[in-house]
Amino acid sequence: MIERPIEQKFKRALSSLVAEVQGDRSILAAILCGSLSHDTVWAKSDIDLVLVTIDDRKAPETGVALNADGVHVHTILMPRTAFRQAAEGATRNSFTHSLLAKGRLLYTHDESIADLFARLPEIGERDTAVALLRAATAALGPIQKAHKWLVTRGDLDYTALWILYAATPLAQIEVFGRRLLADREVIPQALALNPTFFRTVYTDLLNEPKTRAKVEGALAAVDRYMAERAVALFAPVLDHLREAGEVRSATEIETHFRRTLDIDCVTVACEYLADEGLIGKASTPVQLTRRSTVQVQELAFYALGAGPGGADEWPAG
Amino acid sequence: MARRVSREPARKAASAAPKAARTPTKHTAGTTRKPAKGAPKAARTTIAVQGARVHNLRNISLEIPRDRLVVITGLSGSGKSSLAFDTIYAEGQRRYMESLSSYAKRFVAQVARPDVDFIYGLSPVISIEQKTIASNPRSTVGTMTDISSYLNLLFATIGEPHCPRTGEATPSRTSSQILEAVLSLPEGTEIELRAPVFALYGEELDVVLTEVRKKGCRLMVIDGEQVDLAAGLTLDESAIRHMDAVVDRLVTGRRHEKAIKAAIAATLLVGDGLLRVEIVKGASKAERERFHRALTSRTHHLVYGDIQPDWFVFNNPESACRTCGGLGVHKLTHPDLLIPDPRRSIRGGCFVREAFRYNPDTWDGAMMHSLAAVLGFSLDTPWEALPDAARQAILYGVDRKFLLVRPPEAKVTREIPEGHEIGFHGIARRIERHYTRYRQRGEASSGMEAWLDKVMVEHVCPDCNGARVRATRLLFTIDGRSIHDVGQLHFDRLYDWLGTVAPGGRGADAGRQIVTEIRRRLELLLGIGLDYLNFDRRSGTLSGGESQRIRLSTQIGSGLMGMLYVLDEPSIGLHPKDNVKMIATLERLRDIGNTVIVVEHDEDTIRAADHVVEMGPGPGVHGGRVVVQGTVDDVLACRESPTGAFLAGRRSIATPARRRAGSGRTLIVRGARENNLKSIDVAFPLGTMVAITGASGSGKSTLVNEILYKALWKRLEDTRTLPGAHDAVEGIEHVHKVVNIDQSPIGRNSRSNPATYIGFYDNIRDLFTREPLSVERGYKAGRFSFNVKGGRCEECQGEGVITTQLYFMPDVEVTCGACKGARFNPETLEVTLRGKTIDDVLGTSVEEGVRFFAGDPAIGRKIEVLNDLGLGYLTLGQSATTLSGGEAQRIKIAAELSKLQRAKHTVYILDEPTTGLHLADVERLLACLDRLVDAGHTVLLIEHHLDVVKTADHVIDLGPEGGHAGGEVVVTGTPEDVAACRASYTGAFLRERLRRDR
Repeated sequence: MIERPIEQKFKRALSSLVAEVQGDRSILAAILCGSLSHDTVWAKSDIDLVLVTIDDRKAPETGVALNADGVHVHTILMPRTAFRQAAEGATRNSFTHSLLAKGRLLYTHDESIADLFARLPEIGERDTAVALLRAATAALGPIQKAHKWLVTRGDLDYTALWILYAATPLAQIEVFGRRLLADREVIPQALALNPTFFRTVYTDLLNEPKTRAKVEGALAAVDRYMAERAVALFAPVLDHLREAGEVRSATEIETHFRRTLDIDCVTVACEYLADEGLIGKASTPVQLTRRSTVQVQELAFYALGAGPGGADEWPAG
Repeated sequence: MARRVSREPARKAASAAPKAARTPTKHTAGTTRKPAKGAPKAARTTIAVQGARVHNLRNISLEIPRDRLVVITGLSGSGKSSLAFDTIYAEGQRRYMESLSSYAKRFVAQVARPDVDFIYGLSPVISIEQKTIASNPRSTVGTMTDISSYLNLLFATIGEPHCPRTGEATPSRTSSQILEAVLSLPEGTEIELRAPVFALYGEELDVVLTEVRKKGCRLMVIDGEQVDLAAGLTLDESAIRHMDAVVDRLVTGRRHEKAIKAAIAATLLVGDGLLRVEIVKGASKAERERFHRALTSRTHHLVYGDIQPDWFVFNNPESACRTCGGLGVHKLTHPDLLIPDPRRSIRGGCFVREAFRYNPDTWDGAMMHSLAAVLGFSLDTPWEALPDAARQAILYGVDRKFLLVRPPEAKVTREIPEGHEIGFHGIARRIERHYTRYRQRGEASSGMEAWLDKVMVEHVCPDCNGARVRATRLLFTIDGRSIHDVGQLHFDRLYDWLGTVAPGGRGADAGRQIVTEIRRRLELLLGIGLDYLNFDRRSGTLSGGESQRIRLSTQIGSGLMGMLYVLDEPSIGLHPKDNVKMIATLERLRDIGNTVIVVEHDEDTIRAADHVVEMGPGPGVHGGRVVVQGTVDDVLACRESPTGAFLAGRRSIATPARRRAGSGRTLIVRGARENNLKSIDVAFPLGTMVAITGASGSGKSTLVNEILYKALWKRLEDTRTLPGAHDAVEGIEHVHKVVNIDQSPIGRNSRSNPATYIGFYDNIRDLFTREPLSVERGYKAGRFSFNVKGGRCEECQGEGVITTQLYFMPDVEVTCGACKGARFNPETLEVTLRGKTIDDVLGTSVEEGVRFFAGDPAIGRKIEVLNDLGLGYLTLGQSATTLSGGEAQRIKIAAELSKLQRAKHTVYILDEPTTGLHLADVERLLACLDRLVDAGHTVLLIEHHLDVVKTADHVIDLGPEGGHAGGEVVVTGTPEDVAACRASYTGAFLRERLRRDR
């Protein structure tokens, strides 16, 4: 493939910079991230470069904008320990993980960094479950808004806009569910994996007239998409309630997920699951302030029956 | 020369003072030494106070010798504390604050300038008051004395570490030593640094693994199997034996030194001070063996790294037990607290309201209805009549799920999906879950604690067993004892044990120094009779006297000289045998070069003083002057001095000619075994005055306050009260009421006063409403209240003063400009009662009040009781915040005396009522207590004061020593019986007192 001039310019700039830093023994490795590593650059692009430094109090984690032959190189200086923590500790498909995993190791003086880098693309089941729960919870808000604007106002444009807002988390679900590494620009990636669905909820909504049938059809497709995957998407929530064995208040559920998985706003997911009949909705007494003399009822949920029921296999794309 | 220099500013100040204040009474200590001619200018030898007018002080001037033990004595309310604390200490503190920058002043409470012309010769001043340490559960005797820090240092220095898996000896090294050992491996050796991970104390494995992951570890080795934390885990928690987090993989060699060093630090962080070096490849078997032999434990190749004193601190979140957060206690619900009235049914509200309230319209109601249907009990059956299985199920849940059924009486149609199967883990468990979550959040809300205390009781933490720290901290031992074991040792035993510790190895020299330092401090604590305490004891459980003595020992331990210490009754709570030690401690503080001013009534302390200042002659407006000052002999010789009269034997508290036999009924505590009580049976004869005596820490307060008082209170007032461990209390049926009369304030704000507390203010207001002007204007009783709108001055909201808060200066209080301090508006003040406005009445002294209200028996009788108790100098409306503990206690007794019910038998309990009382006050107090007993009631006194003990009808002496060597009944009977008992320390002192009286 013939490289475009702009790409050649960027690569030349990067090569000369890397040649310089390679002589610096306090720089252990260089990792090219961003567009130049896996995408197409254009004139306004910059180069994202992670330089792994030696562990030294005098070399803290920091960022610096370098000039390489007129190209802006956005450089992150990351001590080796910090790099190891980011590479191993970041949940797969999180922003940090995605940045590094999509990158390219240009060189290293330390083989252990090469090992860490090589393990980055491995995506585990637990991390996938966490990433899916995050994405699914993020999708629920815009989906509900879309329903609201359709039901209460019949506003097709605004309903469509809310569906489009949901498109990014839906695309993440599509990519994460297949255990793939997601790009920051994830919709094109998902469009390639599940063209029928994403044409309906994204391309067609953008390009075609927003008739009631089209918008309603898109929203129904989104609902179907979520419902078919609900058991897998919200598996940690279903598991938690099943293990609890009795009613849990929304506060308790939120606290649990914040502590164990670092995820917020799980109540939205519980509401959805209750509406779908996958869990039961209950209430528990609560006093709003320490001085309150009356009790009100807080939203609470519980697991139904022996198991959540339904298919817990990922639906075929 | 020194005297002349010191008097010069006095004259200037005096000349500037108002006329009335210009002729202050001068009292010189007579100890100012004249320097030799030609000698350098001598330092001041006195503290000169000129023109002190704080509270009731009458513009007094005096000189107090420096570097001496000075006792300030006098009747309760005579101005002792006003001189010692509110003048001398306050001025010293204020001057210190003055030296701070404006920035620093913003962070400390500012002290107002005391009303005094000047004070010369002040040193840095430290006040050691009787206040109990704040109830912060994290404060212990160890942290108070700072000796915990030394113990932490000792364990970090010479503690012998052990393997958490096998218990075998495990080395402890610095990270530099570990680095050097790793670098000693052949260059190019591949190593893996692993951190052992423990799901300690039932922590959820999920949470533990999430934490490991957050610290940057993705790989773990669990029982030899490599596990990826990013992958789905199917682990049987109960079967897991060993877990290691793989923190880093490295190649050895000098060029990777920094990376290895950082990796060691990171591993120690994940491993909480433990590390394991796994040699992957590159070293021969012999090299590996040599490496492990030199650096790690034998079986699991573990090594402790960089163990610092902080590692043992229970107040450090990293070291604290995860279950109790370093408190050593865990709360569990108690059925008696959850169900205060078991005669009620669930529907009738048997539970504490916040825990459960049956409402058929709620989910909880439906669930309880369904549970009742499944288990076959009725919601209308009284709790006490429910089958045990049902009660257990309601409180602690059921194993199986049951169908949810809507109660037929439900009115509101909520979304209660009938037919769903639900689980239920019980009301008690729900609260405990709530509590665990609250603890995990690390919050400390007084409101929440109060609510939890309402339904939960403290138990020793089930996981750390009270050790407060994570289990790994207990793996460091010295002569087989962990830091928790050492914290549990009573000081006398700890002192002996430390004497046997022989530090060895690398830290031997440092260890010996630390041991010496701890023993030196322990000697001070032992010297003031605190041998029964231990370092793990919570500060909140100490008495005021114990706290004061601990602070005193800390001060002596500091070894400072040239200081001025001001102490408040250090003899309180001390048995006479311990008092001797306390006096020796005060003398020691003086001998190292300090001035010690003690506010005290204790005879032995007064006799030990170098200089005595007696305030008085009477209390309140009758006091505020220096009656006499000088040596004890000077006081003895002074005919006007009440103290001198008592010390010289011209006046004494008479020993009763006969002892009251009582009603013939008794209260018997059976099998008392709370704290150090040795399952004792104790009988309290009713209708008598009973003194409970014994050495400090012998179990007096536990027996009376924790067991007897709480058992009576539980039966008579509040079933939710939980008395200390005992088998039974017999004879409660003879008692109708129990009252604990302590020295706590009668109110927390300036709106409380004797008139409101005793209750005659309502009668006074009624009298005002009956005045013609009130009738004409339609004024009701509320018009004469300064607590509600209507009659009070709204400018100051009935306070009489307006307080302005300044940024880095003390708050300024000014008399309200609108009411001029009268607290009521002009219209209200137009109403007069026999010529006095409501403000005038509140400003009337008790003495005058007796005369003024002579024609109104409902009021006059109550005021007369106050007068009889020696409180004639107080005003009827005197703010509660200005009353001393002794005054507050006597007002409480007055309140009781004014509502005596002869047909009902009341047990009055008083814990050290002589605190803050002069012998003359004690005499009055005893007269009051006699009135209670003569009316047929019982008075129980926990007391050391021999003049009180000798007047009791019956004495119960506990001991023989404090702490583990106490908790038994040494002797009971009349004071004469106790005096005859050779085994009783109290008996020995009582024998002497009775002999002297004869």
